[in-house]
Amino acid sequence: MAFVAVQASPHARRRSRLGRAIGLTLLLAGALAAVSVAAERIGIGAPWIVGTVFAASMTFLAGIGALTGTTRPTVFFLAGRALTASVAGCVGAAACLPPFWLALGERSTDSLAVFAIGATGGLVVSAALVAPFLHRSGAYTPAEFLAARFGRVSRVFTVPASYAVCLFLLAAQLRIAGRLAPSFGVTPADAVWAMLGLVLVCCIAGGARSASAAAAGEVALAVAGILAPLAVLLAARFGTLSPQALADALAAAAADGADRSAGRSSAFAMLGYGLALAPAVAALPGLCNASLFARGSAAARRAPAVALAMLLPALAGVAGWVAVAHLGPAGGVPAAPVPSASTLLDMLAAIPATAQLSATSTALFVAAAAAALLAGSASVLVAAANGVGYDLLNRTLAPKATRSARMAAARLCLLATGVAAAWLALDPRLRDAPFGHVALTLAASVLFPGLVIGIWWKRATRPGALAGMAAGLAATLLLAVPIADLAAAGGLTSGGAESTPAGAFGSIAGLLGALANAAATIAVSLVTAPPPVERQRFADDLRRSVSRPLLHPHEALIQSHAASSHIGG
Amino acid sequence: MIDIARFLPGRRRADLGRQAHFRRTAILAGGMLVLWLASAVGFAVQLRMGGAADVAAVAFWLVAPLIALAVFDRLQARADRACGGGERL
Repeated sequence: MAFVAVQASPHARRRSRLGRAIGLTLLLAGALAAVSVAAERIGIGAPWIVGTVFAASMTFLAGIGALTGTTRPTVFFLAGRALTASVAGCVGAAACLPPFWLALGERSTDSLAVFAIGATGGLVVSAALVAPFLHRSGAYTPAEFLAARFGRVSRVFTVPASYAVCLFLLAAQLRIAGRLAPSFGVTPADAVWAMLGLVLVCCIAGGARSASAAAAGEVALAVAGILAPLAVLLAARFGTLSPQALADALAAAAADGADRSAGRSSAFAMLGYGLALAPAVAALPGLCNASLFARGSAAARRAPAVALAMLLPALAGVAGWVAVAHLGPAGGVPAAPVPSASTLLDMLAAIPATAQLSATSTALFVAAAAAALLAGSASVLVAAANGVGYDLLNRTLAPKATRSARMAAARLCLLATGVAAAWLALDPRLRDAPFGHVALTLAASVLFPGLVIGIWWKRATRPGALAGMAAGLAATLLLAVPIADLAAAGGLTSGGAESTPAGAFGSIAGLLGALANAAATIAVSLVTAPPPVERQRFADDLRRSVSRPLLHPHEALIQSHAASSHIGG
Repeated sequence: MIDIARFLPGRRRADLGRQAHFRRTAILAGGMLVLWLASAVGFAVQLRMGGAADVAAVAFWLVAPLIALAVFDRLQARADRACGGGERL
């Protein structure tokens, strides 16, 4: 009788690994919470408890990154194209965190609503118009896809623009780490370098694979760390877990004249800024990476929905904490009023004191914030290193480099980009530089139209795309200052580090740049000769359901091998 | 009903299938964008007109695109399978 070995399929194995990664993170968070509650009971000081929980959670997350190293370029740059929709969704959620942090740098709670509209729109646009088709292209980076569609010369625009977007978003996040640090007795410089060190540990061993594996844990910890202490606080203060009780208390406080919401904008302005943010989010290199890392076009299409499902609870939780900050410790108007000039970030940093949180809740809250910063920073750092390491070095400057040389160059890129971003974040001359604003504007005006038109209109030509990118960049540069003045005059401006000149969400310039880009692309394409037949066929094939990547078909053969050793799929 | 495509030559039939798949993909993507726009308008108007005090109403407009994305995913997967594609997740 023949012996048949019954073995779990690789698909089931990968799912169980993902479940283990997220389950282990939540288990760790629960265990840390239980231990810190016990420590609180026996009288150990709050700083010790907070410090220990923070150190343990960061060591765990950095450990995931450090232990998932690789020597294969496909895995380093693309996570082996093996992520399930769930893990790719975590990577997508991490990619959306930089704009989330920028929203918290604003003074008005309207910035959270703008983020909700913009991030939702960006993820919907990505799922419907970009992600599955970008995945089918088989490109390593969005710039490689655009080079395949519009010719290598397009890299003149796309590689610097992608890199600038990532570098500026990383610098903005490191600066936020520096701004939060003094609330916990740490100097900004120490916080920036410590955060950079953690991010590098998470990324340098395995690149995209390490960052993706860590992203699942980071996003899970961030959501749990935001929601669990809020639930405890709601139960203790209102005797219910329903957020409606918090909303009612806030409404009552507002009726008493305690409404300190700054700069309330009209529904039209809120909608306009949200719509302007959507293309920027859809073109974020980190979000494009999530679709490129996915194990199939269906997983790439589903990943934005998973990302949205993870972002919404976090967003609701942060809105709840902002309401708590407005209410103060006893559920009424705070004894020490929230200064109207303070940003949402300042309010949240002061929450442990103003809401009189227990040491355990404070520890989870701090760990969640650090995990969210870590996830967002790792996402943009990997995208930046992929852009320089793959697009510039591997495809342009040294296409015949050996595998080990390519890996060494990519790791060097990670290190150099991180140090450059830290320098930008710490330089006092750049204290008010609007890094986030510039990054979102560049993503919307230079990258987004090329991606969408390149996928959906096969008649688009190389001269058209180049003219469009040039027009988008020029329009952005020309319009940035007048639009900034307009934004400063009418609504969603901030008092935070991102307030100059237009706030993180003064990205109307990006929307106008995107429209200029699209108009120039279409106009020039129509007056130039149609693209070669093979490029038109490439565009056609993008929209067909194909099983192998179009640009690197040989990699489909090694995909299953790479996938079998991957933590998340 | 007679399936006229069965009587066409293979290449022509494949072309028709591709065109139908493209049309269906474009319609689904357009529908998804329209639904998102509607939910964004609803969310902004709810926040300004109704205020944030009605948590369920605000949450509805936030969650609506997520539900629409789930439905969109199913329909697109069905369209991909109908043209001979489709992948496991």
